[in-house]
Amino acid sequence: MDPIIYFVIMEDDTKTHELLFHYFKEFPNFECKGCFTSAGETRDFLLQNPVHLLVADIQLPDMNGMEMIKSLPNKPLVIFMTGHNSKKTATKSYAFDAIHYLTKPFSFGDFKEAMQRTIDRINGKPKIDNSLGEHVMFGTGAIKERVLLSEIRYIEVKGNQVTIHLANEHQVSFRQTLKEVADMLPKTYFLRVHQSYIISLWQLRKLSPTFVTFFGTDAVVPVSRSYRAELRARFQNDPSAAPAVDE
Amino acid sequence: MERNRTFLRLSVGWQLAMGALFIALTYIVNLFLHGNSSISHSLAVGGSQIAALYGYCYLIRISFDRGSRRYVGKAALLFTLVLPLAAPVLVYLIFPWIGIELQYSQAEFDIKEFAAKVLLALKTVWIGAGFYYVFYRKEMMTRRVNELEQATAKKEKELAELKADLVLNAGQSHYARYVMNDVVARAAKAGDTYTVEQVTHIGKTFDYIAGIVHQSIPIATIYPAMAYFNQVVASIRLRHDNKPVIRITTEGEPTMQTIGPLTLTTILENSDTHGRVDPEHPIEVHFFFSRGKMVFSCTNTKRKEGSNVKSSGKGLALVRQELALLDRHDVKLDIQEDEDTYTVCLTIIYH
Repeated sequence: MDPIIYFVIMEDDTKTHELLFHYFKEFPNFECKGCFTSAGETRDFLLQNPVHLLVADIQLPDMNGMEMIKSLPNKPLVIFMTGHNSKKTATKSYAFDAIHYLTKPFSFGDFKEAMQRTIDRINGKPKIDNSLGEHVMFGTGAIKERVLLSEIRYIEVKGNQVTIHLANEHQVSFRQTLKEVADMLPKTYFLRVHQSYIISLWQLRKLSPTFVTFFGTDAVVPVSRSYRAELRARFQNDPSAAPAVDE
Repeated sequence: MERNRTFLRLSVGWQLAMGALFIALTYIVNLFLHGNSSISHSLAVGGSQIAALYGYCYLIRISFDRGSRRYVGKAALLFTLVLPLAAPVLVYLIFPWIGIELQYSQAEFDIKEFAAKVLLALKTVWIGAGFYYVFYRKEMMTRRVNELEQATAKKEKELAELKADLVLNAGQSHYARYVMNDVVARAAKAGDTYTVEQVTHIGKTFDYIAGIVHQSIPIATIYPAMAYFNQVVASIRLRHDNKPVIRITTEGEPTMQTIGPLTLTTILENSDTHGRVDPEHPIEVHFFFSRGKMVFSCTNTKRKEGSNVKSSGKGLALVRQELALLDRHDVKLDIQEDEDTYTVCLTIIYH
């Protein structure tokens, strides 16, 4: 039998309470310990009664849900729900290491996925599944950038300013070291080719001994001698996946 | 606003050099035509002419200034009248006072001769001022055209941003969200999963569009485009009571491809709207992904009695507009039509 997962709902809209209870009926090992319409009440309850999961709205009448969570000494796992969908809010929620970010309205399928992620996290499954379809949070301090791995073309560092060049022609910049960034990326798809550059192997168009080019841009990234052999080795076992090679 | 530099906008150094050249030419003319080898005479006459020219140039410049142009006519007339009167003051009072004697002491003052010489000197100034007016006017016209173009472009950009914000706010309207959430909650309570799923789909469509509207260039990478495509597929299937009305086959894995954000879904929606769609005649979708290439084909069976929704051609026009954004790649949109089927095949070779 699966262990019981205790949760609390923090949501000012009673209709959403009903919807959540309706969906939670399908998950018998989830047990509700409380359902609150304000952040203050929820905080008071959580200080006395720790739970595994908090299903939280972001905009609440008395305070912001994220600020309330930040103030908790022992933070539970969090699933955010919001009707105020924006990239900024989504980025902030991921900075909280949230399990899921549900935008209202959400279907049972979305909810089921959030529950599955909760179970996986409680069972110790790593958050990133090393696929290109994952988002990763970059940056240190208050400014974070949430980037879809498949959109990264290459990453460049100048001083301690990292710039990610995306396939949709956009760029995101933040302060972090290239090594820290490299550690956050799945090694299957990304490779460091220079002390200032990390490239997405899937975006590679042309491979030359000293530089690489990418699909959809005229940008050229240099390849250092020390990284050259590893870059070539990546494509030796799978010639069909290899970019054009310029000898 | 950055102004274009023209030959009328000379640096002080160039202006000094041109002034010196004019004085040197005055000296040469005086030397060879009148046998006058005095540099100070050429300096006095040439300098006076340059000063007069600067006066006219100033008047010409302010004549293009909206605030001051009404005074310019009177000022120019006054300046032109004052100049011949200023000449004797210069020649007989100011220049002798600083040690330059332009008139010959033995020669008698002849007003006609003096006036002729003054007018001759002013003629050069007026010709110079005339040229200055012609070129300055041309420059001002060009600048005004540029300013108008920039103002128009700025206005167009502001309008585009406003339209994007309107779309964004409409899609992300809090009230609309609450209503949708309310409908979903009520439908879930009543066991109406169809409404739950379809209203959620509408909400996600708004989210997807909002994400695209935020971008300065509306190009989507394949992952979000495919996620939205799959969502539309689920919605269409649900509308057909979860019957197998869309058959999807895929070769390869999506990786580096980029596409117009609504290209795939618009083609699919067109098939659903205008084609015969049922389990016996499903929409056949095929994806092929490889490094640097993507092929998407969508085939539907034609309705025997003809489509009950008349095609306006807007769907394919939108697809073509979106594909135009991928102009650096080879994009081919083929439409094959036979008696029973209608196929749209999109091939993109990425560069």
